[in-house]
Amino acid sequence: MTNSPESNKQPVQAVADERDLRKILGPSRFSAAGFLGADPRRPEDIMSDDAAMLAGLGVDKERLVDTLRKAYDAAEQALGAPVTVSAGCVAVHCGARGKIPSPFANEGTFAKGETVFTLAASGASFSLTPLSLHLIDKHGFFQGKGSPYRVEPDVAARMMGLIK
Amino acid sequence: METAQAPTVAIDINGGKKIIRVKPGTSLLAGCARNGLFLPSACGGNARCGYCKVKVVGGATPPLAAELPLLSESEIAAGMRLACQTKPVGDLAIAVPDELFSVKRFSGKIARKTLVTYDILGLSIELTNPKTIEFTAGQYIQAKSMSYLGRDAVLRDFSIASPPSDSSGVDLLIRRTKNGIFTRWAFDVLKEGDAISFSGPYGAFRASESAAPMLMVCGSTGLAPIWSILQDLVRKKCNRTIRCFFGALSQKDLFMVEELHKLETGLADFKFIPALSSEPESGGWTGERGLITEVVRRNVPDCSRFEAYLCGSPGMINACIAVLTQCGLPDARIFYDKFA
Repeated sequence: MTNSPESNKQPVQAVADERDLRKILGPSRFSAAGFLGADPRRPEDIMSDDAAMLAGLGVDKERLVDTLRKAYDAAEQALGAPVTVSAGCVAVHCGARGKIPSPFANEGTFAKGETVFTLAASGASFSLTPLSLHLIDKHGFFQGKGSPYRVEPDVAARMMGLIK
Repeated sequence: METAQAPTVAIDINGGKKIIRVKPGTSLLAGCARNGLFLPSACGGNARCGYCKVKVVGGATPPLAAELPLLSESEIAAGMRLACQTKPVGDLAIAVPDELFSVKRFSGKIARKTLVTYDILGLSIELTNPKTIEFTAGQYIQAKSMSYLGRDAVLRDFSIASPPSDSSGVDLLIRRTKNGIFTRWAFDVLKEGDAISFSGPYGAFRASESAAPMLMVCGSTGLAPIWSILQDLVRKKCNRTIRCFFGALSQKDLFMVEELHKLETGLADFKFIPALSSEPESGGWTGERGLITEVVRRNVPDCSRFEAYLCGSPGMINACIAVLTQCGLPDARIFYDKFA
């Protein structure tokens, strides 16, 4: 592989697609902060980096999604009271009125509300919403670094007890 | 000289109750709004929010791909379509809830803004145009925020907390959400005296006319429509048995407790039961403790004679429905306003 300027060029369509993707994942009338945070990476790179991280940890994405979904449901059923979902990890759900559409077309709407997972020992935490769970499940998109609903795959896997 | 008239198609709404004419290809959402019928919408007609569902009863074409994720199979089978994506090129007949005929657009100003708890705001809107509103206790409005800090104006739903007898305005309860566009505007930008607009009233959540005892269960801002209904029942000198359960985490999440307890003397047979699920033992709380569902079950083990009125998060409503069903209450007598 050479390092000539030619080899760094992306096809025009790819550049347009990336611009479109950044636009639909940016701030909107439904999401004040958008889904990319301050992450300078291309959305595709965010997804592939996170997929690689999960693979490196030996964690199956479907298993992580399934575990997160069960933990989310357990917290929702506790109606705002703290609930222990794995060793040392406490989840608190907060309901909210309304629905939010997926930033990707034709994927429907998702209930608002979020569950905050906190590891008592370290204070590490992340917030999960039905939409962010859908984005992980369908697209492997854990959101950009700095997004309020970014889920760090390794942190989530550790807090859910999938890795030590 | 003759002028060629642009062709139009007829939209028959609710079996001839209203017939409007629109240019072919105009969306139902826009065509109805131009003719004074305001269907709810939060996305401005982009097939994103799914709020503008109507039933097409004649002249229907199959739903577009963009509509499918927002319509269930049973809705599609029943002829439901998104009004924003339905662009008739021929005559069409649709059915909408009758209450939409009384939906109007309102302008008002913020007469009072108060912090009810650390995360719940009370807004009183005084109407300026038109100057009065007619609604049924339990209904909601769709309020519009202004653009701020580069954010677009957005539409959000809020139940009316004031009673219908106070027709000069509406009171709302708004809970702060961490990243909410509307709620941050309402909490941090909106001031007393500022202009605000909304459309409404919407929704079918209301007290029935029956004499059955009422079981009300709510949490947080879910109290808004319940409070409106209760004030209306006081004015109507209602003599039904009413048990009102209000679930919260701790004492700092409770509000309007005094006003609700006062109704125990204002209504014939009313009892207000606040319950806390995470209040420390040292907090001095002597009332009910536990999840609101457990408290309801403990206090009303046999619900079979009751009608239930629920308002709150989907999780709370689903949990309540399960418990009430176990306690003998048939589905047909469970009414709810789910925050979804």
